[in-house]
Amino acid sequence: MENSGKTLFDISKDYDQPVFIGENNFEKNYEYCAKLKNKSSDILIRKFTLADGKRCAVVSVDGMANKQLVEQDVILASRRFSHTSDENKFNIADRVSQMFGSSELTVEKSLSNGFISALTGDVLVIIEDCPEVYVLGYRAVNSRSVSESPNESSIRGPHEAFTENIRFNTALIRRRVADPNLTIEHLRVGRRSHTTVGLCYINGLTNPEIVNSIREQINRIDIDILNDSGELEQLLENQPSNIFPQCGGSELSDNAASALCSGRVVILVNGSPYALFLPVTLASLMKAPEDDYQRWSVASFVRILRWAALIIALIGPAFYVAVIAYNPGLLPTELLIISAKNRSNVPFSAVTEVLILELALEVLREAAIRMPKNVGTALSIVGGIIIGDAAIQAGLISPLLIIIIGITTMASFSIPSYSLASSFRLLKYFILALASILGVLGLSVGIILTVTLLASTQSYGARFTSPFMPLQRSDTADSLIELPIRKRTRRPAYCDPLDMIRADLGDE
Amino acid sequence: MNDLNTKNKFTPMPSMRLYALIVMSAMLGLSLSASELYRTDFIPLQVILFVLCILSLLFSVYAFGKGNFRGITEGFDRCFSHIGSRIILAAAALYFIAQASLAVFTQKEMIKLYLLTKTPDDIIITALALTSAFLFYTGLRQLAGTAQLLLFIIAPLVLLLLSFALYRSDPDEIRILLQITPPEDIRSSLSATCALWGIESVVFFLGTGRYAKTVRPAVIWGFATVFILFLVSFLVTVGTFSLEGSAGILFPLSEMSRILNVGGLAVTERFDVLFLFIQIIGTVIRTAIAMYCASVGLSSFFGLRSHRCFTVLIAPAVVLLACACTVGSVEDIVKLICSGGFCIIMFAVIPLFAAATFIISRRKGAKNNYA
Repeated sequence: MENSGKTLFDISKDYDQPVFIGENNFEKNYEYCAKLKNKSSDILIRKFTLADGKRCAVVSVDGMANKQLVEQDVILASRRFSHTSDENKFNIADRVSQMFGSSELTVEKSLSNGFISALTGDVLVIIEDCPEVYVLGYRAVNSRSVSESPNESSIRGPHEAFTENIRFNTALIRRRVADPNLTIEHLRVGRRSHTTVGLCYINGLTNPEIVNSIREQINRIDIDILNDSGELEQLLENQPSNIFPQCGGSELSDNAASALCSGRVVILVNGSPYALFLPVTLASLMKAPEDDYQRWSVASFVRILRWAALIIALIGPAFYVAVIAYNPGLLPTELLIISAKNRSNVPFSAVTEVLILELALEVLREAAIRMPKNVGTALSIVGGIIIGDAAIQAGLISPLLIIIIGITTMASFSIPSYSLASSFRLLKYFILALASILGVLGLSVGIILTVTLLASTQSYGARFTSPFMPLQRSDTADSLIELPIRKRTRRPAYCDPLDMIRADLGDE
Repeated sequence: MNDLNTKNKFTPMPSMRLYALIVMSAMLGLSLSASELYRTDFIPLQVILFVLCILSLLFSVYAFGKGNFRGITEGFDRCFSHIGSRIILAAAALYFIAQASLAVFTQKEMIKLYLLTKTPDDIIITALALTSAFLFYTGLRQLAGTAQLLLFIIAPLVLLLLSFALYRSDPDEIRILLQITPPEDIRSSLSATCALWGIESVVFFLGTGRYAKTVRPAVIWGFATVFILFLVSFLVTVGTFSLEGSAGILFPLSEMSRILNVGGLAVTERFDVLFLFIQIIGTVIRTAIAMYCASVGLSSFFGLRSHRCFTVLIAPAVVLLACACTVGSVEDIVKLICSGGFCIIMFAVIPLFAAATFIISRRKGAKNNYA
C-alpha cells in the first residue's frame, strides 16, 4: 500500500469500521490493522497462536504502551489463554481480563475505535472468531511527575499541580474528592489527534443542563488536533467575539476539587496541565484559591485590594492622560507643580509618552516569556532598569509616568486569572485611546462600554457579572470580601447546583 | 440563573434592574432643572407638585398592572383605537427624541463648562449620543443590566459626595427654606417637577401587564430613592450657596462639587470630575432609554416588530438636534417640547391612559395574567 498523497484513513468512511466477523474474520481484522499501520515503524502488530489453536494479534505503539507488560503479561498470558475450553462459560471479556491480568479492559465492537485506542497508548487484542476486540489499559507513564505549579504559586495551601498526563490529573482530583458521585467522562476530540478530554462533575450536585450543554459542545467540535486546553477553551466559548474569558482554569488540583464541589464542571485535556472550569464569573476569577485557606479578615483585605488593583490596571494610564492632557487642575497644587516640573523636558505628549512606555513594557513581557530562564533575568535588568533609567535621564519619559505605569503593571499582575488580566490589559488600551481624545469624558465612555461588555458576557447560562447582576444577595458579600468559613454554608447560586447547602456548621 | 433554556420564554425583568433604570435616569435631573428649582420662592408647593408627580406615576403603574395587554401598543390600541394609538405613539417618539437630544445637549454644556473647554461641541455630542445608541442597541434587558452594574459603581460615589457636601453646608441657610411665602409664578414651580424628567419613560413603557409583577416594588423604591436624592442635593446646594446664590448658578450641584474641599485628603482639589462622571453615566443611560422609547414608538407607528433597526435613524437625529440646540431658538423649542411635554405627560397623558386602562379592564372583567 503506497502512500501517494491519498488519505489512508478516511474518517468519514473508516472511523466506524466494526469488527469483522464470520469466515476469515481474523485475517480481515489483521489486514485492516496492517493497512492502518502502513509504514509506521512505531506501531507494533504481533501475531501468534493461543493455547487452543486460535490466532491472536496484539497492536501497540512502541513507547506509549508499557513495553514490559506487553511483552511479558500479554504475550505469555495469551499463549496460555483458551477461550473455548472453559466449561463454566465465562464471558470472553472476563476471561481476557483474567488471563491478561489487566483490570482496565474495554470491549470494543468497533475495530477502528480499538485501533485508535492503541494509538493513544492502550493495547488492542484481536482474537480469532471473537465478535469484538479488547482494549487493555497498559499505558506507559511518559510524563513528568507531580510538581509545583510554575504559574500559580501560593504561600498557604497545597502546591500539587496537574501534569500533562490526564490519568495523573484525574487521580489527583479523585484523591481530593473521594465521592462515588464524582463522574469523569472520557470524550475524544480531534480528527487526527484523538485527544482524550475528561469531563468531570459531581452527579446530584452539578446542574445536568450545564453538563449536557458542555458535553454537546465538546462532541460538536470538529478539529484535526487538540494540543492544549487553551484551544478547547476557545472552542467552548458561546460568545467567541467577546473579549472576556468564559472559562476559568487552574493548574492546582485543590482548586479543581473546590470548583467541582461548588457545582461546576471541570474539564481536563490529555497533554495539558491546565484544567478548565465552567461556568465562570468575574467574581470567581477574582478569587485566588489561597483565599479559602487564610483567615477571613486577611483574605478580605487582600480581596478588596485585588478589586482596587483591577480598576487601577484598567484605568490607571487613561486617567493619567485625561488629567495631564486635559484637566491638570484636578491635581492638588503641590502635585501639579511636581508633575509640570517632571514633564517640562519631555518632548512627547502625555498619550505618546504612555504608549511608548506601555508598548515597551509589553515587548519586555513578551521577550521575558520567550527567552530562556537564565537570560530572562538579565533581560529584566536590561529592560527595566538600564533602559528605563536611561529614558528618564534622557528626558524622554517623566519619572511620574514610570511610577504610574509601574503601579498599573503590578496591579495587573495581582489579578489571579491570567485570562482576565489579559482581557483588561487590552481594554486598557481602548480606554486610553478614548481618554486621549476626550479626556474624562472618554474615560467615562470607556468605563460605560466596559461595563456593557461585562453585562453582556455569559458562561453556560451564568451571567459573568453574577452575583452583582443578576443580584444574588447570598453571594454578593462573599464576592467582594471573604466571608468567615462558618458563614460560607451555601454554594454559589450562579452554578445553579442541585444542592445549595455546602456545609452545616451551626451558628457559633 | 439559567438562561440556557429560557430563550423563547418571557421572564419578567428583575426589580433591581428596573430600580437601577429609574434611579440612573433621574441622575441628570440633579443638575438639569436645578436652576428652576431655586428660582421658586414657595418651597412647599414644589414639594407638593413633586410628590403629586410621583403619586401620579405610582397610580399609573398600578392601573397599568390591571390591564391585560402585553405592551404599550396593545394598550393604546385598546384605549384610543388603532389610528389614535398610532398618532400618540408617533408623538411620543418625537418627544423622546427631543428628550434624548436635550439630555445630550445639557450634558455637553456641563462638560464644556467644567472639563473640555476647547473640544468642539459636535465631538462631545456625538460621543455621548453614540455611546447611548450602543447601549440602546444592546436591548432593554441589557441596558437595564448595565444600569444596575453602573449603579453599584456610582452609588458609593454619590454617597461620598453628598456626605462631604453635607459636612460643608451651612444649616442656617437651610433653615430659610422653612419660611413660607406665596408663589410669584406657578409655572416656575411646575417646571421644578422636571427634576423627575426621564422617569416617565420607564413607567410609560414598562408599566404594562407584562412587567407589572416586578415594576411596582421597583417603582416605589426607585421613586423613594430619587426623592431622597433630590431632597438632599437641594438642601446641600442651598446650604452651600444660599437660595438666592443658587438661583444665579447654571449648574449649582456641579459648582458645589467644584468648590468642595475636604481637608486632609489631598487627593484632588476638585470633586466636580467625580460629579460629572456620575452625570455622564446618568445621561448616557437616560438618553439610551429615551432612544429605546422613541424606537418602540416608531416601530409601532410603522408596524414593525423589531425596533433595533431604528438605531441608524434615531442616533443621527439625536446628534443633529442636539447640535442644533446651540442655536438659542432651537434650544427653546426643544425645551418647550421636553419640559412642557413632560408636564402634559405627567399630569395628563399618563394618568388619563392609566385611568382608561383601569376602567376598560374593570368593565371587561379582565384578569391580569401577569401580575
